[in-house]
Amino acid sequence: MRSGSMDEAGGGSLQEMFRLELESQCALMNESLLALENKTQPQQALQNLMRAAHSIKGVARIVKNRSAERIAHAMEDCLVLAQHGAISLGTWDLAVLQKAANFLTRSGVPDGASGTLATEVTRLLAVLEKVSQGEGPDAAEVENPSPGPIPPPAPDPAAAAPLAGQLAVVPIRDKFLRVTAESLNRLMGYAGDSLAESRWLQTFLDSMLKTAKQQTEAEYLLESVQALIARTEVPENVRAGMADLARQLAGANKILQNGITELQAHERRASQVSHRLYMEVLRARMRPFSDISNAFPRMIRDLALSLGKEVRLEMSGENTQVDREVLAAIETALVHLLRNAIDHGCETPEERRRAGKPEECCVRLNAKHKAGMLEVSVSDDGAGVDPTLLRKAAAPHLKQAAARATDAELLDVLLLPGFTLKRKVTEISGRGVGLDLVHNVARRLRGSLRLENDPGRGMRFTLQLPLTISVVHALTVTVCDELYAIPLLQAERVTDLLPEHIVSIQGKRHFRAGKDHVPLAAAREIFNYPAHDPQTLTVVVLGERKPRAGLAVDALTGERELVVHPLDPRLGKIPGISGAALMDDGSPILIIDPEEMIQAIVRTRSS
Amino acid sequence: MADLSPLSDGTTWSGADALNHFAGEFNSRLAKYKEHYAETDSSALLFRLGREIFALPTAAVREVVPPPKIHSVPNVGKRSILGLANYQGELLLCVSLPRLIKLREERDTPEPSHRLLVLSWHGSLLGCPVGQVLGVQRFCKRNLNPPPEGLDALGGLVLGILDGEGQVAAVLSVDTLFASLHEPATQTGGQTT
Repeated sequence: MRSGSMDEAGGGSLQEMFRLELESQCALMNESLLALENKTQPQQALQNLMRAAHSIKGVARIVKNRSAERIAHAMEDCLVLAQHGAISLGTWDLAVLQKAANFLTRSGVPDGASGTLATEVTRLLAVLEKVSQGEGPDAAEVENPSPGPIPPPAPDPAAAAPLAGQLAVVPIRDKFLRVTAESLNRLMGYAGDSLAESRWLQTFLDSMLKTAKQQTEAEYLLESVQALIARTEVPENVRAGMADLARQLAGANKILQNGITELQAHERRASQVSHRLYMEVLRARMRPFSDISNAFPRMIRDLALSLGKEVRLEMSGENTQVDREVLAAIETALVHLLRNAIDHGCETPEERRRAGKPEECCVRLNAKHKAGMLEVSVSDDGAGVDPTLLRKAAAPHLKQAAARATDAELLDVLLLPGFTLKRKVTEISGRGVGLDLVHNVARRLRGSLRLENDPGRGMRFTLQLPLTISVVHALTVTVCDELYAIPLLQAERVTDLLPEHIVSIQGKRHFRAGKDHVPLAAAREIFNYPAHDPQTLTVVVLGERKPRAGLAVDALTGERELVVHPLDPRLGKIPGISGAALMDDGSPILIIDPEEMIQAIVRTRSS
Repeated sequence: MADLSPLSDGTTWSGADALNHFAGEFNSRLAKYKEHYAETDSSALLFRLGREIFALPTAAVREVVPPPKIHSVPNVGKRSILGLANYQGELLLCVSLPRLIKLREERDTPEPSHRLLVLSWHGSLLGCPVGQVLGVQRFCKRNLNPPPEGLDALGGLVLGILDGEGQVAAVLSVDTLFASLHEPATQTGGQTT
């Protein structure tokens, strides 16, 4: 979708936001008017009233509600004069202001009968004008000083019947409700709990199936005993007794089988319901990408103008659903990438003309779900990065000769903190902070950042992030009979090491992983738990980029998708641990922070 | 505590006599109870830690649950922190009351594990494994005995001593309990460098 006016993109949701804003600001207005009537903290009340009127004026303008805008503006005028002491607000004046506030409260719903609306607005404006002039009420108005009760907030337009008249009711796509983040977290906890409880049924069913199997075998045994009896001389009562026994057993087995079938059906339903509940709670945390991208077209326009470049922003995937925490976290990163694209990537119109490119530079922002992850890319058709320039600038930062570095390694240098290709620092960029920040955001969210460079033709940055940071896909391991999780994205592989695979380099234990020797340490050692000395070491290789390290654990127990809970703040910062979660059966599990763990491993000296 | 002795000494009563006797007994006990109740302004939950009895204000006890699995937290600075447990689908921080009260520092003394008290104070939760839970006792704050010399060295953790019908319980302060968790660690976890 092209970057059009903000209204087109927002449409229904803008109206809804106007209604919400109106609700909260009008509540503030009513509160402040009451305070003024009671003469409690008049200065503060006046200040609050002004702020509320100003806010309403602003949002009214955005949704093009002229009457609300004019009334709010008129109110503001009166309030400013009152603040400066040019007029004083008596009972009548406050009543007028209350009337105006009431009008604004009702203006959340588009009014069909514009005829009466216009009259009301004109009348209100006239009266507000009188207040601002410090004139008292007319004789007629004195008789009716009360503005009437404060009306309830504008009703939900979705529930209102369509109005006959000039205005059609705008269809609302997204109904907003206010829910505290804490409430959502608790819901998540309960949903997870119910999921764990329903999983227990599966275990129970397994043991019941075993019981059923044993009973069936008992039946067979009984049959064979009966067959034996048939061929021998046995008193009739024994034979009859056996027959009874067989009947009883068969009966009991049938009941058990029926019970198991019913339980299976129940388990399926129970786990389906709790799974759906769980997913729905997760989804409740999702917001459309447009929440942050709505502001970009304007930003790009202003930036391009200030830099003397011609830039066109093309966005797609604005409706992609993203966890609100992820969204909040990547907003700054995206701003950096976009600014970088315009400042570094896009050439001036003159340069582009000489290069045979259209004068307008195109910057593309795209968000989509891909392979269960969120992929956001920022690409431009600008100049890209000059490889020779990069190689020269990168030389001091590389451990090996710049000539031997691969293109990928060179691009990685761009991500180093403090590194910049710009020769002078501008207000926009050049301090070498931007890309480093983007990379950190990606890492913190357990995602990745990829750079693609096409010298002369452009550059693309791709952020790959989990759909929700509240869920991590991890390997589960045990250390001292307790469970720990290692995020899969940073767990390169698991390997079993025999003593002969371990070598000592500079006093530290290492082992061979591919072409390199990687440092090794035991989780027990890092956690300060009692050590043990097994024959084979189960080692998880951490790190998707260098530096890597090997973490020896007791055993690998599987892999899971876990809902992340932050650590209780009273624990303080626990080195190596980034959070906690609960397993299917409700057992607590701690989540290891691979980065910190690698640093800790590199620092340990072998005992 | 309530007088739970039997109303009858084994004699058989019948008819109006029975009603009169039991009514009389009942009323006199009710009067005694009311008298006792009127004098009380606080209530505490009594529980065992090892062989000693302690108490916490009932208002602070949110729930008493069977002891859950507690996952230890490596390298946590304070020795009194036991770890995290699952409580209603969330992770509950659990602390060791014996360690906080510094009950005779024997390394081999096992942690109490009969029940878990889930405490709630100003919005935050805390779990404390305890031994047998004895019940709720009402008392008057005025009637609390001050803690003996050595015990008060814990800095306000013990509010006072409750002496009630043969049972002596040390009443703990929830405020101090929760506040102690925000203090910096006195011992470091000791990470190898």
